[in-house]
Amino acid sequence: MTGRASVFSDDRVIKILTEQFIPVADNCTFTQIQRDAEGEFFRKMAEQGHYSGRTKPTGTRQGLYACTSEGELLASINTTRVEHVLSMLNKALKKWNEMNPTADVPASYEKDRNFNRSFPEGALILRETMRDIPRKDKSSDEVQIWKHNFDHLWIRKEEAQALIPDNPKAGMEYEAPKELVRRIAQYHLVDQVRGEAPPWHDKHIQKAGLTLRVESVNENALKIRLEGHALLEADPTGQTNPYSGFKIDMKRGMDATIKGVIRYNRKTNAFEQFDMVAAASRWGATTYNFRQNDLGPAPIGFAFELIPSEPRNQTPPKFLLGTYFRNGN
Amino acid sequence: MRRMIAFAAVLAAAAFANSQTIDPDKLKQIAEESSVIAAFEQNMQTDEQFQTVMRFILPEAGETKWRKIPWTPDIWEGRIRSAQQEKPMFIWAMNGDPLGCV
Repeated sequence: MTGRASVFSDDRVIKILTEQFIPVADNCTFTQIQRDAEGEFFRKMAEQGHYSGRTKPTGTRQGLYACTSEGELLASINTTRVEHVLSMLNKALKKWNEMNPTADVPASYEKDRNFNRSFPEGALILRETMRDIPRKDKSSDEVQIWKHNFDHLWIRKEEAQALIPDNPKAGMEYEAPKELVRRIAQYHLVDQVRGEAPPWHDKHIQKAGLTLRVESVNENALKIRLEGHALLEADPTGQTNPYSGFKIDMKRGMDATIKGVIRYNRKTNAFEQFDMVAAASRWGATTYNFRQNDLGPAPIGFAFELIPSEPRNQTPPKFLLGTYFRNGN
Repeated sequence: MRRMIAFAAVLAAAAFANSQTIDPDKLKQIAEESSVIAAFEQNMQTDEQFQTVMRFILPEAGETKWRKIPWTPDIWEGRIRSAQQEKPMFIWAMNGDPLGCV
């Protein structure tokens, strides 16, 4: 998260990457072990970089890489210091200009089916932002309200259609699809404001429901209100931090009130607005979410907003693999 | 009316506490945080309260400058564009999605 605020918010870095590079953002947790052409490309390229020559094998290949489309490394570094990154980019451009490479456009390839994170056709994307809420008994510095994280909620086409009634009438009430409610509760009401945390399991969902009510309707437009609640609780897993050895995974929970509004264009059959907020009380800590000294209960907020379903916005939800979609992707 | 009284009380208290150096930005922040706490405690009963909490959680412009860069979240698509546009690739690789949850 630091890189977003430091390196990639620097005007010089933004300019050079926008004008002189093809910028790619990748979750290498999956790419580095994919058994397909993309995984092979990434491993071959990364092994020429800052991790080359390792005497102790490690799994990670995190970092910043500049390369040709054929996978030849130009420069690499793993840092959040802007000046070092600018230096690396200039070094890469110098080498690129000396090489003056040309390449064929790569052909398509068969993806490793174990890591298929493809975007479902016609799905909606809600961008999620999570952040701690101010508290009466603590200053904003103590709460660190500037810390936040993002994720993306994918709603399949048929699930989105189920949110819109065939013959809407003002005052009509109905429930959201159970699978969608489960997905929101299990995978998107997870406290990852300060660091990673595992998703909830089915057995942790004590309660989850989302009711929709048609607020207004005419031949062109439909406005729907959402209201719901989710209660999630988990016992400790017994994990310890491998670095400190401390057992910090303790009983945790989330008690959320959900509100939202949908605006739907009945002429174009398109969602024009899908805002949703989960205002929650969270407690406990997990191994890597940095809550050891902030066990709560304390307020946390999750905001969801509709963004265009175009390729540049199709960064997958964090927990897409597994049971995100119960019937496969 | 209750909201206005609470808001005025917050401003007055903050002004009193900082009577030597009143920082307008700080006062604005205190007022905003107070309204967020109130909206949160009342479960966002009104549309205004819903909007207050939503706006507070969503990132400010300064927190999303990194989105100005035309990222593609797909290495293969990056290879194709690199070959077509004759530009080098830059890959930001993380354990976690750099553009999403990390």
